[in-house]
Amino acid sequence: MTDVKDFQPFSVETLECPYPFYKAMQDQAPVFEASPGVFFVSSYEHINQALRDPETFMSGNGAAFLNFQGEDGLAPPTAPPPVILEILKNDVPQRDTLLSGDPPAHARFRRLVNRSLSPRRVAQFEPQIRRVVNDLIDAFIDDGECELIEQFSMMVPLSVVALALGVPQSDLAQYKDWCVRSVSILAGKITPEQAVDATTAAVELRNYLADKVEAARQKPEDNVIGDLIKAHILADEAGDETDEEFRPLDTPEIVSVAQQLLVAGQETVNYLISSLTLMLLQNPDQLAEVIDDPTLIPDMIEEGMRAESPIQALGRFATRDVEFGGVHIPAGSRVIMLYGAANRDESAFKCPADFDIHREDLRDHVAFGAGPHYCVGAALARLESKIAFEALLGRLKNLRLAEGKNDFTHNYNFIFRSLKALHIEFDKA
Amino acid sequence: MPKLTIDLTTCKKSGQCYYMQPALVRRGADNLPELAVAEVPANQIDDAQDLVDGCPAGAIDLID
Repeated sequence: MTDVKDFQPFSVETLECPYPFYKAMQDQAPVFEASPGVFFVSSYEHINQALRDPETFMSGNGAAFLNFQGEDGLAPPTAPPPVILEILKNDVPQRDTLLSGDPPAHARFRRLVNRSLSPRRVAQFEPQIRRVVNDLIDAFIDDGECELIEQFSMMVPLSVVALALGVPQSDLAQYKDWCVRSVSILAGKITPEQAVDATTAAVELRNYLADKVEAARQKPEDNVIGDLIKAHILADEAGDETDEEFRPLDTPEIVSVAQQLLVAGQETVNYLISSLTLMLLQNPDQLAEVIDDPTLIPDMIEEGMRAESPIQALGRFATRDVEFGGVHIPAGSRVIMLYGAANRDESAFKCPADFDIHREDLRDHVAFGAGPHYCVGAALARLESKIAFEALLGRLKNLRLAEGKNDFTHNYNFIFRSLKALHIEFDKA
Repeated sequence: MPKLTIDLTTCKKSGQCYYMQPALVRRGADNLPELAVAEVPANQIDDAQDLVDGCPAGAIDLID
């Protein structure tokens, strides 16, 4: 039996398949102190409770990402070296808006951003998303095979978010390069050279986005940046228009939101599409059912997010001493929410390891989080994924795994769960 | 007076509504939302519109 005390979050064994450790934690210590001041929460019940209590479990001060160091990956982060600080001198001012925000300021940002990403608003982008998806499929459909991640699942959200941000086609290659390099810093353990490269890319990208926002202020376009520039909260009789609450978003704030769209919105949808395609190919009966009845696609997407959650974990800090799950958590502790574990907690989901698009409690997963920080881009992610699968399953006939080309290994990242590659075959059009 | 409606069959239990506008919606059993007011007061129409836009499941409507 897996002993929870052997838990090594950054070991190859855990990163390739974390589920036995999640199960051991749930059985032995649902709130588990992995090292002094570092707690992992694996139970569905406790994660739901903590995520809906931002007063006790805050997101500020860089709580979300696990930039841990040391041999076991659990040592507290140290101050950035001078070479990184030098690069950051050219950065657009950092603002805590959504992911790294806490109430009450967070609620104001959330109100302003929700409007540009509401289900109704993103539905207006459907024709553009469908065009992006079909253009990508057109490029490989005559080959009878493709590597799904490079040729499709990565490019769908990247192109859609680029559209939302007003990045022109001519800048897409540069934009993609910045995205790929800057996201590598969230991988957990990276080399000093990777840190320099990732920081350089992030600063260049943020300056590019700031220039885009400034240019768009003259003539806001029909996209998310345009909406964010125009977003404002109406003052009622009690309010004064000069109050902070009614101030429109400034450029560093919009850059912060845009960067989160890009990190949280591109990586996740990429991983969802690729993991879900594999699960469908491993469950041919359900694949046949969905091809036969595409109205099942939204349920299939929810189940895919539950079974292989693209974001496995995000952190919080405890704001006070708290007894939680039978454990004493001192103020200031790092508390890591294992969404990937909660979504496979057998006290919440029957036979949690099974992929089953007919589950009655599909909507109960926490792959988008819960409470104040529930994914702001959820409607866009659901729409993109739906359109992607409608086109993939509708156009690629006799979809199957490419024989002998797949090893089904994952990228070694504690936060993001993603296949390295997925080679598929289908009948030529 | 305008009214809010919540479709509990499409609700995804995100909790955005009772976080954003606790005066209009409160947290009920099983993390599902409950309306806190029968009708939306005139000075909270913009707040109510926030609920419509802020619901990730598109489960909230504002009707006259």
